[in-house]
Amino acid sequence: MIYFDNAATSFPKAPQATREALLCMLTNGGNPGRGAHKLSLRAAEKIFACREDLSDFLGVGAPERIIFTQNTTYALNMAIKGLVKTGDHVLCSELEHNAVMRPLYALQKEKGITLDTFPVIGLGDEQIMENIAARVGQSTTLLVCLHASNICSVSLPIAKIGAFCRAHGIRFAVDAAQSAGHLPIDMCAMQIDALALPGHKGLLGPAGCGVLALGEDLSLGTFIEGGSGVDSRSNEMPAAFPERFEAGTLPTPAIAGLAGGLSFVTSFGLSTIEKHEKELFLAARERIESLAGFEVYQRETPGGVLLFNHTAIPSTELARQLDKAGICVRAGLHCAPRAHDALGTPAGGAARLGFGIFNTHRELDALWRTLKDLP
Amino acid sequence: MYYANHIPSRTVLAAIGSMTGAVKAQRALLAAGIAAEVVALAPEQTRRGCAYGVEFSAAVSADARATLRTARIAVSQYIEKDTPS
Repeated sequence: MIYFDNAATSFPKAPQATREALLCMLTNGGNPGRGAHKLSLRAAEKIFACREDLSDFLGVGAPERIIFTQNTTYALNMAIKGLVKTGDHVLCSELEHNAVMRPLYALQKEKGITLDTFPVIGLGDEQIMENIAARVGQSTTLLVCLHASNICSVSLPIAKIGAFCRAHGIRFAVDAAQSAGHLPIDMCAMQIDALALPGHKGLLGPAGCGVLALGEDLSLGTFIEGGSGVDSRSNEMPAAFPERFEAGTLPTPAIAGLAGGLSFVTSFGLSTIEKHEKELFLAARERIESLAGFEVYQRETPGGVLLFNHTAIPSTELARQLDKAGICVRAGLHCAPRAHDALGTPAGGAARLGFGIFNTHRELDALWRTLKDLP
Repeated sequence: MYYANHIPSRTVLAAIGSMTGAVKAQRALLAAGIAAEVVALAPEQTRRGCAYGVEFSAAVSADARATLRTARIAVSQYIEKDTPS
């Protein structure tokens, strides 16, 4: 089996992630923050250690501002819906995933917000910044955008956008679903107010745990309410972070696995991972473009994701044929139809290779042989 | 260094609130060489229901309070008490 779908979820996982998740289920079986017996405390300590590691890794500066969520989508919903008021104007890029777009569309209906997208494809940082500045108005309160695309390897100049937003009093939320564990992130230095990321993609942990990191001066309304283990007599969620935003029981094994994955990524080094993925991109591009009828999108931007098509074979059929040969790729629109429009893919979308640290050049040879022999 | 299972009978409980805050406080105290245990506060000790805190020996109370202040951990109250040995 050859797995090129790491942009959807990483596979295999880091050995430390599997081990830590399993160990957690065997030894830390209590409910964190629900009592003070030994098993509950062990679970709480495991979770706090993961908050500390993530805070250091992401430049958050405070472990209590790491909030665990179900996934990135949930974290983005918390941030977007917690920051936007009736009548606000919001900016996002043309490459956004539905995890950003659908909450914004819902807010258009529910709160009458206005929404503008800024172009990115084919533009340099200066042009992107000019396009953002041209769209800012009196009522612009939030800019939400991805760090790296899920359908190509384009990334946005997050530090420049963060500085612009801070200078103009605009809140800045970032979708790091495809960049966490692939590209460096420093929330303070990049002046990000809210950062959403998954545990199960680039950080190589299990599914079931996402993260919302909040900047120092930012608070949000609660997204859901319920048991928090503290302040039980109060009718409201506690004021203290992160409990304010973590109603209900946390997925301790998934969080322990995320900590294991993070330790693997940290020991390997982001620069090594980034370099490996760029090399795979360039090698894959060379192989695919050597075959008649194939096209690679955003071919000049190497990175962890490569999008391609065949002129005569629909992308879903391409993926099906590859699957028959034991090669996993994802085809279609990848929950990012506007991004596909921006790249100019056909109505059926395209096939995507999502590289990871465990992929090899030999696997690319197998991909090339399979594509070459397609009926 | 005082070991957690050898805490003298007179102790101080720093009431913090959240479990995250209590674990953070415990780590700050341990880093300063002060043994501390995370404990659940009795609901009747707080106005708002369940809460957590850290308990340490009264003998190191001044150092512990200074450490928690430096770590910017909000303590709602300090409760000194005799712990049955």
